[in-house]
Amino acid sequence: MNQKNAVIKTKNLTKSYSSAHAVQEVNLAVPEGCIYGFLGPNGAGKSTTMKMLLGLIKPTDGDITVLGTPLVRAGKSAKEKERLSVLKQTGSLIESPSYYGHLTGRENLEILCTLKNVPQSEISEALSIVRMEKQQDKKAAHYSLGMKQRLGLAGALLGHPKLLLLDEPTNGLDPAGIQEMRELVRSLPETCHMTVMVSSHLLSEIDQMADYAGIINKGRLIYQDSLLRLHEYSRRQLCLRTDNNSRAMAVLNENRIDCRLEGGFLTFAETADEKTAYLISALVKEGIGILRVEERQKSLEDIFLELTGKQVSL
Amino acid sequence: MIRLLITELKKTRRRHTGLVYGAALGLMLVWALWAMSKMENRNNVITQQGYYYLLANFPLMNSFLLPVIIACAESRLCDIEVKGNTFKLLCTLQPRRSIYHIKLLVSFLYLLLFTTAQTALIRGLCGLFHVKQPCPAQHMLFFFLANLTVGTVLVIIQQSLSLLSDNQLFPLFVGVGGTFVGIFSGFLPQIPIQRLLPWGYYSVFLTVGLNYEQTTRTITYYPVPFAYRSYIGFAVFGIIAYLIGKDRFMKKEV
Repeated sequence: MNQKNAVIKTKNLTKSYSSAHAVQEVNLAVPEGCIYGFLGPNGAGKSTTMKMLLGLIKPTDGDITVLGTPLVRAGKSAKEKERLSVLKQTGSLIESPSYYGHLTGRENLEILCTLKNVPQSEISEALSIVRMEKQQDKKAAHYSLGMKQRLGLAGALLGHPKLLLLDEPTNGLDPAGIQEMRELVRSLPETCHMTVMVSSHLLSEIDQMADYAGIINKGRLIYQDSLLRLHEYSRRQLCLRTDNNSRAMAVLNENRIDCRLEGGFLTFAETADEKTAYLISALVKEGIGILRVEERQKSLEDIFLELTGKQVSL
Repeated sequence: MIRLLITELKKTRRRHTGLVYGAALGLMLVWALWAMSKMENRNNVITQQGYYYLLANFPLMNSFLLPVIIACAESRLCDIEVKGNTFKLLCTLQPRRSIYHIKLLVSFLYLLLFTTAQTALIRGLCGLFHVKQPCPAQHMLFFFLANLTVGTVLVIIQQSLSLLSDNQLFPLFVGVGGTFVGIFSGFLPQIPIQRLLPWGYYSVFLTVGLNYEQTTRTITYYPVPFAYRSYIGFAVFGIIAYLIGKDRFMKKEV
């Protein structure tokens, strides 16, 4: 990944609570103009990392550079003025949405406009992006969770930030809300020219939204590259079950065909038609009965589970 | 600074914080009107010593009402942030210490308005009841100063507790509990508990004492010196409470 165009860069970012490491030596590189999916099981360190990027949590060690400005060096934070000037170009929605329940949606955004020092005329634009023009005069306490999330996103969009950090923005939303939020996030780099870093514990979410992915597990970044690259891991395999697998394996080895015995199946990395025909005829010639032939493809889910080592629900 | 103050005032819309203080002031006005008009020996006490009468009784009323009023007002001002989960957003938009300071400033402004109105009320009531006693400017100034100082320290304590608590019942309980301790400590002058807890200090700074003559059932008020030493000690306590409260808030993880 090109480090030069990265809007977020971290080097050995670490956060420890007494002896436990919440985040350990994470080296993030979020390319400009993309949607970066930050994926990991619950408790992997996604929120902690994002909070450190925003200066809400002080890192124990490591460097953070956001939009070209170093915010943390060797665990030492930059001056608050510097941090806030960078964060002015950043929008964020961390965990649950922040709002004043006794105020209307518009009044909530008015407060953010004053704090961000941006003209109030931007409110209508932000409301139209999140499709909340009709609910703007309703008190935020009366909003559904989906509407609160959209209000939070509208607030994050005020001031046309260059970078948007969204921590699990679809959490708690119904399927329609999830789809709506996904479409909204997906459209942001193009319509608003911003880089989006979005976290989720759902692989399918990231798969449908992101261009790049970073996978974090137990505080460590275990994968970081384009999603296309991740898809490449899911190449096809041919699986074969015979009435005598050990003899079949010996025959195939004699014919210099690489295979592995996994769960009662002989598996082959390549599945070219000619090779399939060749190896089956070789086995039949030796009198080995072919019981089953399957073509398998690893799903992203399988890869994710392999990477994170989690076989249970995420 | 002005921008942050405007924002904070915008946030308090529909929270009716001013009404909480207004209600306390209204209650005091009703009580004073009733007490001053129904009093036996009215000519002696109200006409001759009207200022002293109010300067002795208003601090006692304050020790009854203000700790609860302050706890309620602070809870209303801070709960909007706690309930709305806004700290993590605000900390990306303004310096963390300014969140604490601006809230404190707004609370102080409410308290300043209340204290000014209460001092003006003494003047107004004395005018209404044709009090002949000349206005004791120095006593009025001490009343204003003591009222504002005790109120500010209580605001610091209540604000810190409200900002640090996820549930506002705890700071409210502390406020109500403090009120009771403050009131009852006044009845136990032999035990120095009054000076150990900030809620009891409304009556520590009284500049008017009273003599009750049982046989004639008459009350005579007399001036007492302002407790300067206690005031300085209390102010130091307030500064320490502020430093601890701010430090705890700065370290609070959002």
